[in-house]
Amino acid sequence: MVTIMECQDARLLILPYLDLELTEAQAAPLRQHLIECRSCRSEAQADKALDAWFVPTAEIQVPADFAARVARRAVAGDTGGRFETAGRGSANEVVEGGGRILPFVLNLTAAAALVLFLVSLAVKFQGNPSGEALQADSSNLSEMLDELDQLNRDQAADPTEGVVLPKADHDRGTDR
Amino acid sequence: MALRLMEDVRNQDEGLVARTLEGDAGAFQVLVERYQSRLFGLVRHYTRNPVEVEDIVQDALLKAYSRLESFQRQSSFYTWLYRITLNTVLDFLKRSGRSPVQAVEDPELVDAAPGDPASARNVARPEARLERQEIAEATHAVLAELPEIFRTVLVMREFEDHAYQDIADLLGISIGTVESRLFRARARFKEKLIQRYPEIAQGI
Repeated sequence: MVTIMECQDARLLILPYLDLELTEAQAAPLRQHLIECRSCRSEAQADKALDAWFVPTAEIQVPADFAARVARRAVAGDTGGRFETAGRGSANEVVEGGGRILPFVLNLTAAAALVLFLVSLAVKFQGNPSGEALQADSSNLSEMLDELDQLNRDQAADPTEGVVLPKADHDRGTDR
Repeated sequence: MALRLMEDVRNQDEGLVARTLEGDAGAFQVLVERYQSRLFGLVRHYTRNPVEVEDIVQDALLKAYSRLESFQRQSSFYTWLYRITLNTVLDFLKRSGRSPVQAVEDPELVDAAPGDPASARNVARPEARLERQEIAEATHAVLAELPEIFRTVLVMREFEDHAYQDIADLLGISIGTVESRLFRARARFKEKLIQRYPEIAQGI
C-alpha cells in the first residue's frame, strides 16, 4: 500500500533514497511521490547530478618501502603524535577514551593513597606518649614518702597546723 | 559469503595484532601493508601534497603501534586505525591552520529545511568539456572550504562509499546525525561550488 507523502517529508528522504539507505517500505511511497510531484523530482535530479562532482582523484602512490620503514620506526620507539595540539584531545584520547589519561589518574591515585597512609600513621603516633615519657621518675620517691610521713605525724600531733583558716571577710558572709 | 570474508579478515587482523604485541615487528609490517593504500586514499582528500599525506599516515600508524594494547577489539582493527588516522588528519589541519573546524553544527544551516534557499539551489553536472582531473580539483577546493564535520561525512560517503551505519560507527554519532550532516554538507557544498565556479556549476 502506497501512502500519500508531503513534499516536506519527501525532501528529507531524497538523499537517503539516492544513497540506497531506505528500506523498501520507506522507498515505495517516495517513488510514488516523485512520479507525481515535478518539483521534488527536479530536486532529486539535482541531488543526483551532484554525484558527478565527486570523482575519484589521481592515486597517490604509496612508496615501496613505506610499511617496512614505519615498522622499523615503530619498533625503535617512535610513538608519533607530531601533529597533536595542546588545545585538542589527541587521536588516541578521542578514539580510546583516555589512553593517556588513565595511567596518569592511576599514578595520581596511588601517590595520594601513599600520602594518606603516611599522614594517618603520623596522626596515630602523634597522640601517643612516647615510651620514655611513660616511665615514672622514681629518683627521689623514697625522700618524698619520708616527707609525707613526717607531715602526717606532725598533723596528728597538732591538727590545726598546716590548715589554712578562712579569711575574716569570708566569715562576714554569714551576715547577709 | 561477504560476512564470512569480513570475519576472516577480522580474525587475521586480530592474529597479527596479537603477534605484534608479542614483539613480532613483521606482523605489524603486514598490517601496514594491508591498509596503507586505503589510508593514503583517505588522507589525500584533506591534502594533495604527497609528502604531507605520507607524514600523516606514518604518524597515525606510529600512534597505533604505540597504543596497540589499548585496542579493545570492540570494532575491527581497520575501524580503529581509520579513527586514529582521521583524528591525525584533523590534528594536522588544525596545526597547519588549514581547517575551518567548528565544534558545533553549522549554525547557518542548522534550521535549513528542504525547500529553503540553501538547499534548493541546484547545481548542474560538470560540463563535458571539463577534464576529470579539473573536476576533482574543483571539488577538492570546495571541500577544503567546508567545516570539518561536513567535509568528513562527504568524504566518507561520496568518495569512500561508506554506508550511513559505518559513518555513524566510525564517528561515534547516530544515524540521524549522519543524515542531518550529509544533508547540510551537500547543501553547503552546492552553495560553495556555485560561489566559486559559477560559470561551470550553475544549473541550467
